Amino acid sequence: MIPILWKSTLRWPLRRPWQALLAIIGVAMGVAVVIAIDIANESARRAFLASTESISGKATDQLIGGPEGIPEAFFVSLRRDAGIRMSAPLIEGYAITTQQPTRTLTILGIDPFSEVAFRPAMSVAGTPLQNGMAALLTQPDSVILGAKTAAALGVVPGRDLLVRVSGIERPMRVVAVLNDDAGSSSALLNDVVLTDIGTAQRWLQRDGFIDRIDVILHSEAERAILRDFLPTGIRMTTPAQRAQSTTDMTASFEINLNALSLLAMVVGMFLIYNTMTFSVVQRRQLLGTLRCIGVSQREVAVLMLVEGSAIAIIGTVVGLGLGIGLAQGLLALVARTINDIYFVVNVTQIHIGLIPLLKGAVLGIVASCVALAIPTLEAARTPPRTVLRRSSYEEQMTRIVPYIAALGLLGIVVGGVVMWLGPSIWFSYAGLLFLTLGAAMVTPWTTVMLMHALRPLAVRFGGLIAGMAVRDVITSLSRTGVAIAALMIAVAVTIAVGLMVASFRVTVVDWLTTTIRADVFVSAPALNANRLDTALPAGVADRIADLPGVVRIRRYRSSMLPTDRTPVLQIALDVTSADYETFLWAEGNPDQIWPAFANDAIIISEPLALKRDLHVGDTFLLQTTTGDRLVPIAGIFYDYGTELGVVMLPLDRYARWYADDSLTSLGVFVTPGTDPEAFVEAVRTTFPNVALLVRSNAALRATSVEVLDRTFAITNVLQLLATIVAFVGILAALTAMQLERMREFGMLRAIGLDPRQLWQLILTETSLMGAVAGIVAVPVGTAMALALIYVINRISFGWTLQFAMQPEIYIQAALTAVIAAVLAGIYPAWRIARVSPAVALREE
Amino acid sequence: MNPHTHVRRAHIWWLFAVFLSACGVQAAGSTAGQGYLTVAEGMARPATAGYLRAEQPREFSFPADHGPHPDYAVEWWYYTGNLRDTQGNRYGYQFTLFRTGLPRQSQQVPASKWQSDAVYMAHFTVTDATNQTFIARERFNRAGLDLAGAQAQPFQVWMDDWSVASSADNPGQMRIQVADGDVALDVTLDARGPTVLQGDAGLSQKSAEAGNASYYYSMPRMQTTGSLRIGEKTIPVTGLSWMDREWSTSALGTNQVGWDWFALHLDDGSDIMLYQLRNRDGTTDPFSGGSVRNTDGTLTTLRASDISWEPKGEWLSPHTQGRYPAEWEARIAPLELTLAIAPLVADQELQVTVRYWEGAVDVRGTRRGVPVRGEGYLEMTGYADVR
Amino acid sequence: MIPIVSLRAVEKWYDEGAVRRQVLHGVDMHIHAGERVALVGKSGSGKSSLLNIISGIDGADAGTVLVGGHDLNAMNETARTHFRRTSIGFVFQFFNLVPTLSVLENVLLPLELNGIVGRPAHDRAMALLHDVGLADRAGTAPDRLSGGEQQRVAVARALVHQPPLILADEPTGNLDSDTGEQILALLTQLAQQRGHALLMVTHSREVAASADRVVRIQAGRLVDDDRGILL
Repeated sequence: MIPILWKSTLRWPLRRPWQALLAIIGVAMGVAVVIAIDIANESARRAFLASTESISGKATDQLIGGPEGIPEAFFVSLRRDAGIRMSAPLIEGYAITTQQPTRTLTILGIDPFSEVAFRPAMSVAGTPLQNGMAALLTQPDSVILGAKTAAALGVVPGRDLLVRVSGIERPMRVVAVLNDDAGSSSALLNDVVLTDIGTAQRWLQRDGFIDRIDVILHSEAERAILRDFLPTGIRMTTPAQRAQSTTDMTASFEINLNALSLLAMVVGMFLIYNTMTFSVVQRRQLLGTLRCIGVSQREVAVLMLVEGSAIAIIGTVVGLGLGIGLAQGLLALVARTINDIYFVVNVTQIHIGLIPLLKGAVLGIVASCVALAIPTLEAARTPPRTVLRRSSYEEQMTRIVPYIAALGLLGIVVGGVVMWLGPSIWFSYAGLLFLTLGAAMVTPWTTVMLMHALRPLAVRFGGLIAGMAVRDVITSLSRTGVAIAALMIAVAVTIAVGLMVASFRVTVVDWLTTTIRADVFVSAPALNANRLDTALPAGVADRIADLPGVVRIRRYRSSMLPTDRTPVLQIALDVTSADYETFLWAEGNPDQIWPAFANDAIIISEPLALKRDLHVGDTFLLQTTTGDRLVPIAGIFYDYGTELGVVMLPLDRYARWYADDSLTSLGVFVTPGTDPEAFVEAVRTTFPNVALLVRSNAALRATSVEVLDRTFAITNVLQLLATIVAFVGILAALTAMQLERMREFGMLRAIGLDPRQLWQLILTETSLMGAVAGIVAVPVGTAMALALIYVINRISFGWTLQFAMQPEIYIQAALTAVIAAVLAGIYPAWRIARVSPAVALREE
Repeated sequence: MNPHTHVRRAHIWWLFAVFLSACGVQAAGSTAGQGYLTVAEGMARPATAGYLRAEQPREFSFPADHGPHPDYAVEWWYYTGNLRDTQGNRYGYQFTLFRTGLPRQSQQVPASKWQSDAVYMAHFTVTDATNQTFIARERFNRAGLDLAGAQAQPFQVWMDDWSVASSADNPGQMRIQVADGDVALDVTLDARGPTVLQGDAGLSQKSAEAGNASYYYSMPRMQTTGSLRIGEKTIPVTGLSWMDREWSTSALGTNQVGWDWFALHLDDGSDIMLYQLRNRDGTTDPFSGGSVRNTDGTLTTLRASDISWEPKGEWLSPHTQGRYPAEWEARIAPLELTLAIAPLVADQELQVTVRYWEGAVDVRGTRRGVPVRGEGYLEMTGYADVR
Repeated sequence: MIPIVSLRAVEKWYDEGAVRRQVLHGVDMHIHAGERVALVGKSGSGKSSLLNIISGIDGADAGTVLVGGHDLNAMNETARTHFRRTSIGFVFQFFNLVPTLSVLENVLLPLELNGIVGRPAHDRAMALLHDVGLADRAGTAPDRLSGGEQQRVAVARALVHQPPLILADEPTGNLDSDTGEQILALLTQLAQQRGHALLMVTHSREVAASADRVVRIQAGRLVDDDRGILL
């Protein structure tokens, strides 16, 4: 049986269900955003790992080569000379189906005869006859699909699938469909096109090369023997290492998403704090009575905790459900960004792991408990003699507001110090959290100050009712303060993120203007905006150079370079003195950089230098095809193309070191009179049967900015979610506050205020609250933006951004605050205005 | 000589060839997924368009004909042998390389070196009678990129690092080098006696239909010396091997469910080959038969009616649940020869893509009342997959 | 006979910003078991402070406070809470029933706090509800009751755990005079029947009249007041 004392408290939320409901929504949304981000990240990562893992099959080790891959003759030598039978060659590529352009198919070029030990599902030996594997060898352009993928694409064996591979549209003849109902082959065949390695070579223009060789080794001794056999330029790694270094690329991205999601949680915390504070304030009479008749402080505290925890648990559970739904929506955004910036991942299904759910649940409950701490203490400390009125509490509130503000200032200072001195990104975020909470604590005091300042003005222009509204904001500070603070934080976040994105955009556009100088750019079609490592067909550069109107050509060879940590982008390029001004230097003197660069040095991008603490004069290890080389760094340039980092070296040196004279893109400078768009057409007509991506300077810049904007789509969504949580918060606060003052409003009605005036009173009050939130959010948001731009972006991505002050962001944010507050006032105003004076007076 | 002597190798090749070529366009799940081929599946006919057929006797020329014949769809190099170490412990080995031409494509696509005109399959088994163990390994490769292949001069057939080869100056001597993890064989084979052209001077007719034939020769008795490695232990060995070579472009009848094939070296120097084709209805096919190369070098051809085969006992395969004869008794009436044939190891069933039993056997018997002894290889098919 | 309440030279100050205001000056007071005492005085005279000190809600700054043999000044907050739980019954001006509990549950609450649960608690609570005439409303929510009925429940709640001392703060202050009289009669009658000491803080002449003794407080000092001499 539940003790009567417990009943006295547990029944309280039932008497004010809307209030409990809003608190639950607050917790739920906070939890939902956190776990949604977690699940989306985790799903993308798992999808990638599952596909690499299933594609790696039972391989214990992998052999990889330079930018071009491994010469196929090495594979023969591995088999015939080294006797490594447990080896399987592989070519991976990507295709897009013409009917579903958003669907990326992974082309897996395999040797079916080598597969039995690695990926039994794809092997010739030891599999059912009907899998059609051997047809891969005998029918041109033949492929095998998994049943699920085939169904999704609507193809059956014997039919052609129209795809775009390396920019060329071509049919794939589906010769068989593999049953992938069960087991590991299910992940293996997910959006995978199996084809013979010879076909893959042809499609992906990889003649003479393979991407990697999977091997199965049983002992360190075998590993050592194989290692000795490997020629320079071919390295041994493990599937796990490769997958790890790839997924590590997204670490910063994930951390930032997590941090943004935590922000929603912080706003959610304000909500539960708010609700519980209300519920304590509303219950002061009751709590006082209980204390009088001998209920101890400890018992009161336990009661409040139980009630708060109940709300927290329900909110958390609801949040878990919501989060799973939300994750589904966010997944597409997360996956698109990863595809745009990092690596190809096909993920359509969320993976609901136990860890994200547990993390969300623990976070929701812990955050709620933290938020509950103060109201609980407050409740426990309710003096028994408070069978008096509430005003005493409000007086007390007004008294302690300056102290809270002082504490808040301390929080801001601590936050700033932690942020600047903190050794890692998590310290930066902790600092930001302190700063945010500190600002929130200063808000009630600022509110009082602003209201005092406003009062004469309000009375003068708005009459008595406006004056009342101003006074009410102050006298109900115990409730209004928190609501204003929550709204302020949401608005500040809006400002901060807005400023950061704007700064980013301005910086990148400036940078693009500096670096993208050529009139026309030619590259091989790549699946992703940032993956320009597909080689151009031989001879394209020479033929373009011969076209009329060409002044000169700048040649590039881009490739992903494996390092001991995450891969970096390696760009080999022509640099003449005319190109010097396309570089902006973060470190190094151009007079010394260029001679060194021409001689034996490399230059690296700022993110790479920051992440690995590299400076001019340090060396960087390049794992070249002709051996490992420690190369001096001559300069560090600003780069906003990729946070993974860029290494640049002269093209001729690249060709020597990597035994590779292929090119991936060209920058073409044309004579002043030549129209770039016309030249683009000229290039296209010169190569009618070659898949080339030809873009004018303007088009390339537009594409780059477009990708940038896409990257921030998820940021904007999260920011919106935080605002929604804050809106729910202020709605909850206002509703609670206004409905509780029924008596007072009844009295006002009784003494002659008409409903319209009540509307006016309430909406003036709420818009004042919104205005305060908006005003305070301006400096706070700016400070947060500075922190994001100069500390967090720098630490996590390694970018130095120019701060871009954009007044419209402030105006927008302030308007958001006022509109949110006014909207939140509508429901209580509507209810209150409908209440007849008599009923209002009878209340309580 | 009976025109059907080649048949015993053929079915294994068929299973393989069919596997490669007949599996064009089929939907998944049309049959229950089961990892191995049955003889019934092997009966289907592969495409042979674009290949020459064995229609008339040809002039054999060595060592050129040891090499590949890519104009014919199928070809194999088949080695089996019984070996002894210095202590008299007995071993058996089988090393087989099959080549199958892929259906010749009408349209020529730009070349990748991986694109191939043929696929190779290799089987390697080792039997250790003393320890009663049997090891079987299988490999496949495309011919492309020289991952597998054959050449005449100097003679070499290979699959990765597995090979059989002759040096240019001694084409009559062949060296088999096979290693696969814990088992390896490195032996040199010297032919004793002339090469036997089977059938009609090497044209081996399969049925009445013209072109349904193969070119076929054997080296039945090859002196073998070298070493065998099982686990960590390398063992010097000597013994006798049997080589069969055949190439053709033709199809088989569909009535047989299996074969029992015997290749026996008797101590008196004669080499005996017997085979029984078992029909679906359980009878012995009239095309069954055999041959004996007598001590004096003459060849005696045996018809089905000359031989009686009697299975003795039963061995239940724990791998496939197939029920194989445990031993055999064969009577060859014209020679008054009775032979009891017993495996050195009961379980010599190959757990590979095509399931069959092929292993070393011991032979005891009497010729005209005089005891004879011998050893050889026995192949039994169609027991594991008849359901 | 040892008095239930025994105050000696009790002083109380309040800090109000910089100003220190003394609200009780050397108060001496004794209340014996079964005695009904009315404490009268103007607003701000120190009535409530005295009540708070006697109930252990507030501490005295000087003097001794003995209630039911407990030296309240020597007790910490926890001990005082426990003391209130066992030794005091409260009747408030605004009833202060727990709105989330039924009438019966409100009366059961003090018993539960004293560890009395189940059948005995139920019987005792019902008996008392019967005495205050509300046995038939046991399951009702307090806000469904009239003011008088609510105060009856409050009386039942104050008496149910048989505390030696009942403190009533303007028990009729929020009731019409007829109802107030009934409540007063009920309270004094039950207190006497059961032998509880009763201290009523009041402005009301009627209330004072129902007491055995009237104690007047003026500017923080007790003033002798004979029975019948008016406020």
